[in-house]
Amino acid sequence: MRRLLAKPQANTSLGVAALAPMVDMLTILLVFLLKSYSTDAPVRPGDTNFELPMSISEQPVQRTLAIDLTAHGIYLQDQRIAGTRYYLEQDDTLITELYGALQQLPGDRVQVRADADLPYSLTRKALFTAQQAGKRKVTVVTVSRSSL
Amino acid sequence: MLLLMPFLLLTTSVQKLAGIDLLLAGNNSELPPEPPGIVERLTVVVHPDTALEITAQVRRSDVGAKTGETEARAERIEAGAEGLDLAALQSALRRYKGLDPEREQATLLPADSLSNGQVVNLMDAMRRDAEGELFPKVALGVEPPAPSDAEGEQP
Repeated sequence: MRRLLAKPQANTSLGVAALAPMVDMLTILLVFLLKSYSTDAPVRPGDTNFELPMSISEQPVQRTLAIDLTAHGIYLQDQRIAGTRYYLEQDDTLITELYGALQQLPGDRVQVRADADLPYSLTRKALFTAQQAGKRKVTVVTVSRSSL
Repeated sequence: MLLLMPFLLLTTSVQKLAGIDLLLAGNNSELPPEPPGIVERLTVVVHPDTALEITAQVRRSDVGAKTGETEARAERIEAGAEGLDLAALQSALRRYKGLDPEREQATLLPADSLSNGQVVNLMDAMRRDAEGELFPKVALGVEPPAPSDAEGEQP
């Protein structure tokens, strides 16, 4: 009876030994999370088919005018400007609707967020249009390979 | 640490965006000048699924050469069964980097039929390899391709 009521003695050395791997694991997880931490808002969350290309680049993206090239349309600041199919099929190098809209907006910096599966011909036309509209600093937005 | 972990897990985004700043070649606009080096012009032309073509203007340095005289060099890398040979491209670009370590700029002329994902892969391959930085400033050709450039076919 006395043996049953006796308070068990904690084996402190065993407890510390069991805790050490858990602390190691949490530290590794913490370093991984800090390295891949990002507060970037998802690009075109409503469009499930839209996927940005992957890149080894780590350069952060600044908030500027955004041209989105998707399978459904060409968007400027999330406003639909033109259809994609027309400019994929035509030889027109200048996207006139985009050119007119870009000329109305100040600044010379623009970012292009193009779907990874779209042909480069459309991106080339968008870049050419931006250049013609006086947007000299163009950034292509990609998803970093260090993403989660 | 136990407080920080849930905070990070709750606030982090699964997509980390990264930008690639472009130099746009074409429209009669001059690209930013490069420091004078032995390689004066370096261009990679992509023929989809068939080959990569590297053309360069390299300044002649032999005794008989006149001042500023250059020679054109061209190299064609045929695509393998798995597509375009990016490792061979990087190896060739590494040789040009060895000739002119100060040079940072190269021009990429992708075929229209390539996807944006493939173009970004090519740009990544031109910007750095396993040994380090190659040509971090990639200029993209945005002018419409000349008819003779299409798929390497001759009329």
